[in-house]
Formats: sequence, structure tokens, C-alpha cells
Amino acid sequence: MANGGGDPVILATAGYDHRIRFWQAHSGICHRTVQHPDSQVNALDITPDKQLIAAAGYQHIRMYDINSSNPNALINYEGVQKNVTSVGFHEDGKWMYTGGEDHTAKIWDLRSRTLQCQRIFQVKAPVNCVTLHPNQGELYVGDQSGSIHCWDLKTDINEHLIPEPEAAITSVSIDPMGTLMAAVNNKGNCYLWTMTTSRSNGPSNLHPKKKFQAHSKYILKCLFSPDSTLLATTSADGTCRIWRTADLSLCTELKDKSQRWVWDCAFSGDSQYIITASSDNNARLWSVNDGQIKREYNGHEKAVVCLAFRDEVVA
Amino acid sequence: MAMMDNVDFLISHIRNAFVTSDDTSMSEWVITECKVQDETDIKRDNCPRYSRNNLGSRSDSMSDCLSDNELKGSMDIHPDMDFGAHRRRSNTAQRLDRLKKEKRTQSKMKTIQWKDAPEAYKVDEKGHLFEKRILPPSNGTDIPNVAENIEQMNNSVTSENNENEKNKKKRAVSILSQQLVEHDSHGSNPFFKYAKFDGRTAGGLPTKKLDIFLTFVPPDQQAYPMTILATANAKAQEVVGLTCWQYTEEGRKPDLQTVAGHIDPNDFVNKFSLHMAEDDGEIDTDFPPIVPTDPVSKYGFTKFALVANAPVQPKSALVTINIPNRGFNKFQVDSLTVTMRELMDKVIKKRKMKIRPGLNYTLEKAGKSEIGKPVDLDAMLSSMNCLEFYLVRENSSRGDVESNGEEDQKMAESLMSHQYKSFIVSMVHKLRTNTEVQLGISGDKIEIDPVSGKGTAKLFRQKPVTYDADCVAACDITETKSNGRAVFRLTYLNGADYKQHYFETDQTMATEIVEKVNNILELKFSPVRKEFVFTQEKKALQKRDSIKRESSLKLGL
Repeated sequence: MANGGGDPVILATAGYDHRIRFWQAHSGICHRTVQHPDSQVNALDITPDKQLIAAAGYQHIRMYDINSSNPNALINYEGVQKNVTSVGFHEDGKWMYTGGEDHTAKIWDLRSRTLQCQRIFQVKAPVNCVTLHPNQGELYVGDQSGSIHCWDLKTDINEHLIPEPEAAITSVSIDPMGTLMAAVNNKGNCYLWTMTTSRSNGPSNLHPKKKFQAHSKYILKCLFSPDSTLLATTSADGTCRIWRTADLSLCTELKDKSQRWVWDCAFSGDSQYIITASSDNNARLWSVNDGQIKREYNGHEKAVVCLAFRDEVVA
Repeated sequence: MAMMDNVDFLISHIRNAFVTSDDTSMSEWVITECKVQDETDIKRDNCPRYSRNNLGSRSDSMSDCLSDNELKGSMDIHPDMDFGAHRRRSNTAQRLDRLKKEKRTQSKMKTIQWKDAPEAYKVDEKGHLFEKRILPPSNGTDIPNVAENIEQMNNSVTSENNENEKNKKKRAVSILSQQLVEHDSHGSNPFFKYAKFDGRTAGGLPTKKLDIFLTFVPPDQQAYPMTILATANAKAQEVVGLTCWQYTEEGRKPDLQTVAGHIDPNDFVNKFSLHMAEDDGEIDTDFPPIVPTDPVSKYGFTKFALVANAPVQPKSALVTINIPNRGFNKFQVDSLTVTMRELMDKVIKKRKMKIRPGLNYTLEKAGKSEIGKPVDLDAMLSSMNCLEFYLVRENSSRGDVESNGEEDQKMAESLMSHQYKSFIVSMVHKLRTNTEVQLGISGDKIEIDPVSGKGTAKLFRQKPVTYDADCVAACDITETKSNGRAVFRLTYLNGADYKQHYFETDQTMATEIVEKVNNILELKFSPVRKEFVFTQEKKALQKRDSIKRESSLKLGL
């Protein structure tokens, strides 16, 4: 994939201090900081061509250039009410999806001249998370009321399921092979499904696999590792737990005395390391195998609530 | 408002108000004209045009009438008034400016408003845009693949370590993993934790640019400072850390380990110190090093010198520990890294003080502001920025600080007795009234200058005289009076004779003068003084002898 001569490894963190920091992931040095005026950053994602980073904030999504030192945003997407809580991209960069507290998930056509891809999906509660199926054709929208909406983009058919009434869905993850889906809620529970392609033209079929209490408190994020063998859950209890997808046994608990809420995480390309973002103003790089902190990304002045990470796998 | 019907005041006020803000000066002209006309009117009519109550005044509120003086002049123009070229910008203008600037950056930023699709979504028309990708391991084989993965997982869980290793080798490696390994093998920059004070990546935080002259680089490079951009909140110690980090990061030679030996990045206060420097990099030795815990932004200047302390000889220091009412102990410590507890234990041991349970000692820094603030006993001496301490029992105080202070002052006074100081005293004359004189005392001489008092006849005035300190033989108090005054005598050698001057002043000043002069005499111990002391002693001896003789004669009788 083209990366315009930029660094193959990109790590950016942001949160409540209105700043996006870019780090040298292997050394822990912050090499650039850009301001994100007027709003906290709720979510970050990097475009597939690694040229731009999108920061979702209050009523807007701003795109910053990754490979220049331009301190200002290049593009500002607005016209959204309330907070934008998640953002992501189609793998070819055709469109961007967002979800927000305005009860919608949106698809933005990135080719600004045409609005061909512009789509909107209305739900009945604030959207907490939006996840794109690796097949690039289905969006999974988790909302405050506890519903997971499965939206098949091509056919516009949607289904929804409520794993646990009255428990807000905080995060949904689908493994890179598209065979497992995990969802977590604010009660500390984690639900797992196996996925199979639908014979009709709707969204994938989901077969409940397991429900388990992953944390005693609010879970903020779940994420499958690139090799699909691990599932990470981050929680308000100040830990990130890594589970084996095979038997859902606990592989490692990532814990540090000073760590507070853990909001977000990302695996390295080879699933050997995981980076977490926490309310104690730090992001950390952990070794998955032994649960040791390898690097700390220290510099934010307030809680770090989101991160964006890109790694590449070499043979 | 009573004032407002005072026409004079109004005109004056309007005129003056326009002085500073009317660029056209038109208003002033109008008012001036008006006033001139007024005056002619008044002259002509000889009756006040504005008087309403026939009081002959131009105001109906007499009490508020301003005096002529106040009406004539225009107001003073103060530099802080807003006018002319330096006029402060109004808040509105500043805000407009800011908005304009924001707009400029905005114009560079493309803004895209959300727009709903022009028409409802139809699969036939737009379906191709949202085609699903067939995932590489085709959907049919997905599950076995996961199973395989899971199996592999399970293997690595249950298998021995070396098998695990094998698995790892088989597995693809990410660039991040490679970089991590590479970075670790390189040896990371020990000052890494100070990198966060680097203003170059601080993104909008206030920063301060500093020129740091490095005293440990080869002489030909010493004139070129290293420029660092520190965040404004960085303390001196953190600036040192940042400088070391950047120095190491830039791969400069000689590397810091050779400069200062092994460096523990958590404690290198004793290895480097930051000094004020001149523009050419010369260290300003008049000032001590910057206190490590001071924020650098506190200092108005931006030129500093980083000094590496010689690693071979650890810096030794002389520490004084005062024990209230029991003197003090001085210790030579070899390095500033000793903890305060070690120092305290040393004193207690030396003094053979008994420590009863529940009776703990602690240390306080010298200086009045530090009273009642025990130091952290586990902190190092280097972090104290102080070499004099008090040993204090817990829940008790130094107590004798005052008296100590007095003692110190006495000591200081005796050391300062060589410095010139003058006193106003009355000179006692045998035949006439006392005269005021100024007595100037320094290490070299004693001057007597008359103070011209009223009513003193010129004839009787004391002529100014100067005595070399070497001629002064003695100075003592001869008489203390009940009214709180005292007479003291200054004995000096004039030719071959000792002569005296008598002065009168209050007792404290007399004591001070006598002490001062005696201090000087003691320190100088001039031949005159020696001689005088010798003769005094001889006299005393003779006297004693004569008394002895008398008494023995009496006894003999």
C-alpha cells in the first residue's frame, strides 16, 4: 500500500486536551503535536493510504495531514449534530463512516464532487460505535439502548439484536477473517458470535457462541488481534484483558498502578504487542505475552481516549 | 448632578476631553471660539449671561465652583492614556483580528457540509458502490481456518517454550516489532523522559527558546551554543535533561558518558549544572547555578551554560549542623549524594545523643523562613541547595534562633569594624558647653567633624581633625549617667603625650563605638597601642606594689 514515503508505522493519540500527538511508536518520542481546537477528540482513524488522519469531535470530523508539519486541519466535515463517536474508512478510501450521538450512522463520500455514496442510517438511541465488516459491505452499529444494528450496505437490509436489554453496547469488533464478532457493554459483559455469510443478500448470519463477564466494570472497547487468536477488552477497572478466542481463557491482564480507565487499544501487525490509551494521560505499549510495559507515551495533559495505529507486516 | 450646570466646568471638561481623542482638532476649535465669544459677551454686558439666580456666578452651585487654576489648564496627558500611534486596540478590534486570522486558516481548510443523498438509495443504481469483498480465505473455508488458528493458539499455550519460539519464527513479524528490537539493541537515550519538554513537538504549548553553551565540548565549538526549545513549564533540571537528551539524540561528541561518567538519568543533578551565561558563552560566575527546581521561564534571559561537574573528584562540601544551645558540628562530605538521614545520624553519633523511643530528631534548613519545616530525610543533600542545617527534636523548635541571630550579628559587627561608620555624638569640653560632632570611624582613621549647630559661636567651634588609627591608644567608657547617657574617652598619642577626647552620647551608641574602636585596635595592635597597654600595665603594677607596700608598712607598724 502506498504510504507516500511516510513512516510505515504510525501512532497517534488524542483525547480531552484538544491535541493530537504523533509518536514514534518504537521509541516513545512524540514527534509532532497538532491542535484540535474547540473540541475533545472522541475517535481517530487513519486513511488507508496513510496520508490523513481523521479526528471525530463535537459536531465535526477533521482530517489532518500525517506526513507534513501543517498544524491545521486540511478538511473539516461538519453538519453533524452532537458528538461524533466513531469514525472509519472503506479499505479503498472510497468512503468514510461515522456514528454519533445524533442517533445516526453516516457514510460520507470522500470524492467531494459527487455525493454518490452519501448514506444515512437512523437508529433510536445515541450511537456508541460503528464497525465495518472486513468484507467492506456491512456496518455494525452499537447504540446506547443496547441494540446492535447489522446494516447490509448494498441491499440496505438491516437486522438488529439486543444481547442484553438496558445495557449500552460500547464496542463491537469483527475478526479480520470475518468469522467472529464480539460485542461488549457497560455492565462488563462480553458476547461472542460466530459469523457466516448469509445465503440471501442480507447481512451475515450470527450464531451466539458465548457470553462471559470480562470485567467487573464498564467495558469501553473490544478488539480482535490481526491473527484472530486474541480478543482484547479495555475497561473502566483500569485494565486491559487479553482473551484467547479459542477458549476465551484469560491470556494476559495488562495492569499498572497508575493506569485508570482504559479507553482504546490497538494490536501490532503481528499481534505481539498492544497499545492502550488511558485516562491517566498516558498511552502504553505492552508485550502481549508477558504483560510487561515496553513503552510509555507520555505527554498528553488530559485523558487519552482514542488512538490510531498502523503497522505493517513483513514476511 | 450639580456639577453639570457649571458652564465653566463643562467647557473646560469638553475641551480637555477632546484633547486626547479628537484627531481633527475641530471640536477644540469650536469650544475655544465659543469661549472667546463668551468672554467678549461678558465684557460687553458686564453681566453674566448664564447666571440664573443673580449670584454673579456662572454656576448655581457655588460650592462646586472650580477655582480658576483648575479651569485654565488642560489635563495632564499620561503615558497610559490611549491615544496617538500607541493607542491600544479595542477588544472588538482584537476579536475581529482573531476572527480574521481564524478565517484565513479556515480558508486553507476545506469545509464539507453533510448533505443527504439527492435521491433515495436504490440497489440497482448504487449497489455497485457497496460491493462486498470476498475475504481471502474464502467464506467456505473460514471456519476451518479459524479452527486451525485456534489450534495453533492452543499449541502455543500448551507447548514448551522452544516450540513457542518456533511458532514465533514461523510467524510474520511486524515492522513495529522489528523497530522495537532494533531500538532496544541500540541502547536508548537515557534522557528519554525529558523529551516531552521539547517545544518543537509541543503543538501550541507556550515554549521558550534557550541558547545553551556547552562547556565540555572542544574549545573551538564552545562559542556555538546549542539551541533548544523548551516548553515554558520546564524546570531548570528538566531543561538540563532536555539538553542532554537532545545532545545525545543529535549524536554529538564527546558523548555525555565520557564527559561525566556514568549518568543515572533519574539523578544527574550532581553531574550537570546550569549557569547564567553572557552572550559570548562566558559563565557568569557572580551567580550560583540555577536552582534545579526553578522554572526557567522565571528568568528573563535565554543564555545559559551547561557545566559538567568533574566526574573524577566527587564534589565535596562542608556541611554545618547547628544544635540549638549546643553549638554546631561541621562535616566534610565527599559527595552531595548523601541523604539527610545519614548526615543526621552522623551528628547524633558524634554527639553521643541518646535517642529515646518516641523522641525523633529531624533537620531543618538554616534561615528564618525554614523554621518549622523539616527536610525530607531521605532526600539527598544535593537537592537541598543548602549546606547549613539545624538539628531539631520533633515537635520542638530551634528556640534560640534569636540569640543565635544576635551572636551572628556581633560576629559580623566585629568583622565589619573596619568599615567606615559615622556617629553623631557630643564632644565634651572642659570649659565650655558640649558641641555636636560627627565621629567617623574606619579601620584606618578616626575623624572628628563639627556639625554646625545653631547658636554655636564660631570661635568655639571644634576644628575638624583626623587621627590615624595607629595613633589611637585606647577607647573606653568613663562614666554612665543615670539619664541613660554615657561618656567615653578616646586616648591618642600626640607627639610624645597621650591626650584624650571625651564624648557623650547614649549608652548603646557609646558601647558600640567603644567596641568598634577596640576591635580595630585589637586587630591592628599598633606600636602605640602596645606601648599604651604596656604603660597601663606597668602603672597598675606600680599601683599594686605601692598598695602592697603601704599595707605592709601598715602591717609592719
